[in-house]
Amino acid sequence: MRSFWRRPKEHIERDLALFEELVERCQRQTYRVAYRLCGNHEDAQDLIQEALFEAYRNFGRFTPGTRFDRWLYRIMTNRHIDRIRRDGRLPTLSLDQGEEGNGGEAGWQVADAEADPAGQVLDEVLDERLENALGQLPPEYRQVVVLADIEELSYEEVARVVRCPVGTVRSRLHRGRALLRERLKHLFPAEGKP
Amino acid sequence: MKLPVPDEHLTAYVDGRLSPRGLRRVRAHLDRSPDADALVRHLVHLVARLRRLRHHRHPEPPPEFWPLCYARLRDFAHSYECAPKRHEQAADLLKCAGFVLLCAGALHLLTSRQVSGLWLLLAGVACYVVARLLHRGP
Repeated sequence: MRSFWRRPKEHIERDLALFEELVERCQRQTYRVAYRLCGNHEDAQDLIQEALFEAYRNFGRFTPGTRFDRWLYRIMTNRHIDRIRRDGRLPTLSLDQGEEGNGGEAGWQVADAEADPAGQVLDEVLDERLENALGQLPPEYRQVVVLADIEELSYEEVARVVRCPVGTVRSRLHRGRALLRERLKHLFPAEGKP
Repeated sequence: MKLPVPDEHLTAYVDGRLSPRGLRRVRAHLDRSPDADALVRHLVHLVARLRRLRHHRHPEPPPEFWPLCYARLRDFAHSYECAPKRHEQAADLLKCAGFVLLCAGALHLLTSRQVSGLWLLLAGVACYVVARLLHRGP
């Protein structure tokens, strides 16, 4: 049955244009977050598409003047958890696991890549290992590590995105870092004082 | 080894999220505990490496991804806007019911001139009002 009060087409176009403009402004970081949540390009692209559909459906609930990217992250992290539950793909990473096939001689410190080409190569390898380990974290830990450590959101912002108390963010962040550290500790022996 | 301050506080220390009192407590603990000190050093380096990822590794989608994504979004938006939503379907049904009640009420009033006709008219109007409210969406 056709509704008498269907929204006029120009209103739909106006909302769509506004929505697209907001997405465009944060599409780079959105892709970055999606990729780090999923660990691969295919899933990241699917996640973004699903999240955008859901965001559009709920665009009326977005509060103008607030951070659109944070709002989108929230939808994306929810969708990400839903997808994992639906697909039954839970990554496993225990504190007993170690990184195989490495000599354990690298350092945590970020090398001065411009001065040292070997350091640049080493950094690339370490970054890749770190991303692999990140991809194996349980999703709830991965989300807070990605948002707080990589995207540098504050604890409060992360709490709003993942909808949990700040204390939970802190404990998940700690647990996520502990898992990463244990996973990679023989790659990165501690050096220097903070 | 059981630490006198929770490990989570060490994470908060690394992130600069401790109160002055907590900071003093953690610093005193670090002076006493080499394990905790090593943990903090590890955490500092880990966080530095994670932050480096943001600036040095930029996962990029294929060039056609975003245009395709927006095109799909536009298709979705138009089909979503055109598809009747549940509350709109309910509102349309209510409008039909309201119309029937109004007609029945009017007919009843004209033919039998009984008060029950007025009730039917009122019920019809109520259906229209509720339908109108439903159409505004949840």
